[in-house]
Amino acid sequence: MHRPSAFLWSLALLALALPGVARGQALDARRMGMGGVVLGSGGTGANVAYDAVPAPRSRDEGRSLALPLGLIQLLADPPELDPDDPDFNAFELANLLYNPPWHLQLVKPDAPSGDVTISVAKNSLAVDLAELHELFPEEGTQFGGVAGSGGFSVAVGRFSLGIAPLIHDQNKLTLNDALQGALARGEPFVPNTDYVMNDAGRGQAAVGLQAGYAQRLLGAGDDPRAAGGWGIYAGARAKALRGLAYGDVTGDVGFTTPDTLFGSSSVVLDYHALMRTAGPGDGGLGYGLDLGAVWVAGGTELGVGVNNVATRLPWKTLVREAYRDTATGNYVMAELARDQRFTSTVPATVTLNVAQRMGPWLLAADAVQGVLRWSGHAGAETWFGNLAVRGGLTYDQNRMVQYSLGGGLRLGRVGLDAALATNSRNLTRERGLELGLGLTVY
Amino acid sequence: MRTARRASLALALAALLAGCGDRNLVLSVDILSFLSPSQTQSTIGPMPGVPGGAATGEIPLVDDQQIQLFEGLGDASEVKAVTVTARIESADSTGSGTDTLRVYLTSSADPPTSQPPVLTAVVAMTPGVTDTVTAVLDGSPALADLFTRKLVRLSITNSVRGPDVGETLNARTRLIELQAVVIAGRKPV
Repeated sequence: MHRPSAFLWSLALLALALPGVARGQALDARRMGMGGVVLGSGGTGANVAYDAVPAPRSRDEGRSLALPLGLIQLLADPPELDPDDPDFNAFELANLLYNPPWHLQLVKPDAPSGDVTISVAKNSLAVDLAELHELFPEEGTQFGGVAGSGGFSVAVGRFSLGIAPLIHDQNKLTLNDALQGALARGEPFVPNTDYVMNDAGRGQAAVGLQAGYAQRLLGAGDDPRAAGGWGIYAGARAKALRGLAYGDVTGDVGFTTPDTLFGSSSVVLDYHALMRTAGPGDGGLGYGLDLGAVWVAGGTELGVGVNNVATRLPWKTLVREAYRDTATGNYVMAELARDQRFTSTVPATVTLNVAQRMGPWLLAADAVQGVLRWSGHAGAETWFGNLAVRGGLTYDQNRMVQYSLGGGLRLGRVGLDAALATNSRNLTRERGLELGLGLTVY
Repeated sequence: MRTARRASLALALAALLAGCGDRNLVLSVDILSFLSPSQTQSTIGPMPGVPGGAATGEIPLVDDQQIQLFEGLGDASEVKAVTVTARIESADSTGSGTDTLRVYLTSSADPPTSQPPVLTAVVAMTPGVTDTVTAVLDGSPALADLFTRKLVRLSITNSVRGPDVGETLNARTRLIELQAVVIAGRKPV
């Protein structure tokens, strides 16, 4: 059994972490306990205008450091990477991409498994995929995200300068009704029917220099959260991006059943796909822009952040076509163009957040328009002396409601936060439960 | 430009299976469904009793029938085992004797009967008795491998030995099940 070193695992997990955050994983135990809700200036860089909003003076606000309990769990029992090993399960590895193991997995959905049974007769074909049928939800499988955090920045007055990666991935896989029925519901294949699967995927990575500027446009008082104070803030962040890698594919794979399923003619897959790829040497200099606005009045705040407004990346791409040659029956990969100029876009994401502080209570909610779907979060926090109690709900990208609960203990200038939260970040969208811990410096 | 190997639905399914470590692909082939009713039944007799019993020799019921299966399955999977099951129903009106059913399978260019039978079932016929005989063979990986090929060639013969004394044999036999179940795993990378 191959056991990769802890160092290699750490590198791999760092690479995994960004897509996970893009899919709504909250690393901060405080946010996690509040349903993953965006908390303004303590949030995720979703709204550049918060750079100009004064940090809350509440004694309950601090800077958090998430503790990677899940990494310890993973390093203690890493998944099998040798495909020839009986314990190897590619779906388990895929689940790590969906839900990077930052937190301790208390209830971990099993990766799909089970024997596949194919029953064949002259004019009958049925496929029982066992648990694998869960890979094909009725509405198709789609996921995607844009991660732009993870770098570092310094603030100088109203300006900020930084460097950060930008990673975008999305994929949408759909089956036609006939194939959906056969694979997901175990319905038998029937003669003279088209069975088609379509997949459209895109991924790109870049690294960028960022220059931001944010300021108060209108307001009263030095502290907008003080009694009688208010402020309207706006910000913009320009990004100069260097493309590192790009790939997209759009393809159909399918077959048409003959009059007799296993008669004189065999069922052969037809395949057609267009692929465009570019490597690190093929990326050009692109640009991007984030915009944001915040209104703060006493205990109330409302923010709108739009990231990647008109973000563009130029590439020199290799364009290829894959298809089945009907004359020879062979599958062919043909090069259509080399060094073809192409400009990719990064989808804009929108975050709308609202928060209301009422005495010891903080109520917050947000709606996030992601790459393919939107999600929503709501959470509450209150303090009893040095003890914080939190709870929240998430409407996630799989259209499921998730639950979270958390607490915090403050001891002087240091606090310990813990959170329990459910999620469906796995291939089969089953509910999992994880525990997050974090340290807070007040 | 480069070419890739031909693939098939089964290959796609095997690829899906490939993610699942030690899980199996279970391929159940209803061989009987590929045969016409006239190929699955025979009328025996009249065969009068002669000393030692008269023998018909092997008479083809199915003569080199070609069965199209999946293309490419063998490329992606490694067979582990196969079970071939045959059930024969015999209905005897008069006389006694035996009917030996032989099943031949191959995927080579040679006719199936050039190889030894993969399954042999002997049906004893008793006057006035309708009976069912089941023969089960746990085959070798080589036999299992046949079912991962695109084309399987099938021959079935029966040979009857009549009574050596007593009533003339008149009977009917019918193949009512012929099925192969193949267990295949993922081919090592």
